[in-house]
Amino acid sequence: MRQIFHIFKKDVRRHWIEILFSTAALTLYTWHEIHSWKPKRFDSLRFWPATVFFLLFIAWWVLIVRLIQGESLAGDRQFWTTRPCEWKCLLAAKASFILAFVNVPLAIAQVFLLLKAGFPPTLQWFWLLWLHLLMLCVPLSPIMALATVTRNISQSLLALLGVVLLMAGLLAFTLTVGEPAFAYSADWLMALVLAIVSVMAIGLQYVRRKTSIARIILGIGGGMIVLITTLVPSLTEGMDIPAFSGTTELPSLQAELLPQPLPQDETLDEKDKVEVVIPMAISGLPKGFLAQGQGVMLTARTPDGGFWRSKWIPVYQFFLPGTNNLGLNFSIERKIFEKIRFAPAAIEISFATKIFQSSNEEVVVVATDQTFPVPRTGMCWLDSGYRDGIKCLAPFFQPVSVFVRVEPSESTCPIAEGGRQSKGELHGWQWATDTDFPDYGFSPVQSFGFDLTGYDGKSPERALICPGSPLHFSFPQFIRRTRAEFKFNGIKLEQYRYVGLGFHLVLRKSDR
Amino acid sequence: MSSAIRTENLVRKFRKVEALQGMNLNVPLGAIYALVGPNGAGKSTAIKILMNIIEPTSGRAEVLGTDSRRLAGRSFADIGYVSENQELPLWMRVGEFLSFLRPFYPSWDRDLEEELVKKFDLPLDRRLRHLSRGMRMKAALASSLAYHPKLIVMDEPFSGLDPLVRDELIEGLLDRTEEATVLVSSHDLGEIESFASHVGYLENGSLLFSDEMNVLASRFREVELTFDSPVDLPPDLPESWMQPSTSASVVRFIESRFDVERSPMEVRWVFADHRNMTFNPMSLRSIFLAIAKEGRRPNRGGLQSKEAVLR
Repeated sequence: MRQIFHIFKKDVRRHWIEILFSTAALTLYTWHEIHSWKPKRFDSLRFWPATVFFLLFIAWWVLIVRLIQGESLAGDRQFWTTRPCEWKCLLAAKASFILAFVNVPLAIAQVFLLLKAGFPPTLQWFWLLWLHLLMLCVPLSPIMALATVTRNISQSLLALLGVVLLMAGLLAFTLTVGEPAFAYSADWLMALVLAIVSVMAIGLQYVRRKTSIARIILGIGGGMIVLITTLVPSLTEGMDIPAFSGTTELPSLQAELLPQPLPQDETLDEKDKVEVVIPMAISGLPKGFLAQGQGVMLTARTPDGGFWRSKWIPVYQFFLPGTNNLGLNFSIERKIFEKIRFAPAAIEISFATKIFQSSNEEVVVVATDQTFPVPRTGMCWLDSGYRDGIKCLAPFFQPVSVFVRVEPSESTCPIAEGGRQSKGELHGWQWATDTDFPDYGFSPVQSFGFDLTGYDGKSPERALICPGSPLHFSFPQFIRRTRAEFKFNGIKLEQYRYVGLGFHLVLRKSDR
Repeated sequence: MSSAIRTENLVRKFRKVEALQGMNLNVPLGAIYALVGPNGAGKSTAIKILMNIIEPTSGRAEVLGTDSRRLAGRSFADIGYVSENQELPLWMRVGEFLSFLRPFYPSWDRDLEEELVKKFDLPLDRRLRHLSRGMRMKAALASSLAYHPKLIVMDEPFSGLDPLVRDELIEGLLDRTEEATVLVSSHDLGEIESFASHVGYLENGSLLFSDEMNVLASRFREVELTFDSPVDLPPDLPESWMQPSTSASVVRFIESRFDVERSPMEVRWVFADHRNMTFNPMSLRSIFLAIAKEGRRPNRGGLQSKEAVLR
């Protein structure tokens, strides 16, 4: 114990600049988090959140690397290996340091964020611990592991660069292939692999100083992550689709293709694939129901026997009762497209959706000019930014499904001269994946909002919510997954060929 | 336990390079053992294995009765290790460095620490980074002597130091030899000749010999024979005669197995008609130079014949 404290004290003396830097970065992060809750003050600086996060990560990375390499484990020239310094004491001293100058300040910042958002931290201690446990898995353990197998900060920087390149490659691959069906499980698996190999490498280095073997272990871990990333999409391709098959077509759901002019230039780009964007209007969802897109598949058949079918493409569009406009984006191999582009094809669009039903339970909350609590949702306030709506904060979890409705007749907003009052209801919906665990992140406060919009048949309308306006909150329940099939005849795909700025990809929230 | 250090067939390979080829070393308790040899002979590798900085490929080493592979943590409370290649915490001041190490050693002697600081004239408030190489070595040595180690291991401690600093280090070391065994490696023979009690010669990973200094010195003689007329060297000379040469009427060689009675008789038997015969003692440096040259002579088959000569 005495040795641990002795090494700890030495490290504090040695790394006070790094401690200062990381504390400053954490302070900046906390300040930014609080200000990000407020109306779009930083919209002009889009890179700002990423910069703050990057600064904090770099500060911790430098702190941990310098700390571990203060008693370097790689190489054969370090003086401490021939001193009566027990590895357990050394490791405990380093772990205590990280706890004291990474975890504890972060926990303080998190408690401060919770208090600032109006949530009592005493009720959240379990999830706070959980977030810190996750942080230990990623990124703290991997940073420590890389620091133990490298001799100095330059080597560590090179290793970090390698990791960044690997991650960029994997991200590029994921973007090309598409989100794997079990991305959530794959993330957990990768984090677990990363944590296990990191702990193994750290243990091996501290107990035996077997740098080569530790590096091999980390390399194997990296290889496993590459395998998981590349194999999961192909192994799970279509695995979630059977859940949609066999169910009946929603009788009331209708789709209409929106007209498009033929592109004036018939020349195709020198690319292997041709982008096709099909604009559609989907309507017919009965009142009291909501739907969320899951995937879409296009099949095209031409009279001369031409055939093309896409894969299932993820679509997370929300559908509300009324008309919902959206654009479906497909990539077709150039050779196939050339064969079928002008032929009047019969196309089938399969839509996989999740159906939700509004519950009878409705909570009416009167908006105030301060924050107001919304049951099962969080602390909310009126967002007076460029989009009128409601912003909310919740501890750790975003609500799984909250639907908010505003009756224009109940609005307490004064109608400006020449202004236009909304005629119909305005809706907003917040949805999150239903999991037992909070999302990974440094902040314990989840921020989300409701864009309350309507459609009067001509143009979108803005919500008119002012202090005193009642807000009708309900909590739709997931009913079932279903699949809708839409068939259209005599469609020339050439008409929907994406020609750059000439056609804008529409994947926006429902307009009514 | 009669040996402070003992190795058996110690082998260390770095990929295809065999840095140590079955080294058998025995450092008696209380000895000041000088492990000498040219650069790249394997001295540092051997010492790193002894200090468990690296592991042997095969064979074993015992340090103060403990398998070197198990040396860790508290085992080093009795061992002082100083190396020219050691990376010290350069950001620390000398005083901080000593204070940092103090709690790790139950036998740390504050009085001795002060004595060493005075003796080496160490500036306590100066950062190690700002010290000269010699001063840094002195700080490292002070930090390795202040706890009365039973074994002091030094890897090329005097390399590149000016004679004054070197003498100060040796003096500091000699003050502690009554209570400790010392193993010191060096490629400079002159610097260890004055204080070593034992010497081992390592070349190409093999320990060619290991002996007490006085025994070694008594084994080697520079022999000069004078004749009345020019003489040719006979083809079959005894194996123990190294570097035989002739110049007009003088024959010179080095006798590697000198014996007061046998060696003159052997000379007389080979060169019956010599006029004069002298056997001169040799310095350690001359002995090692002779051994090294002997190894490089093509007609004597390199190391093998050298080992035969030294046997």
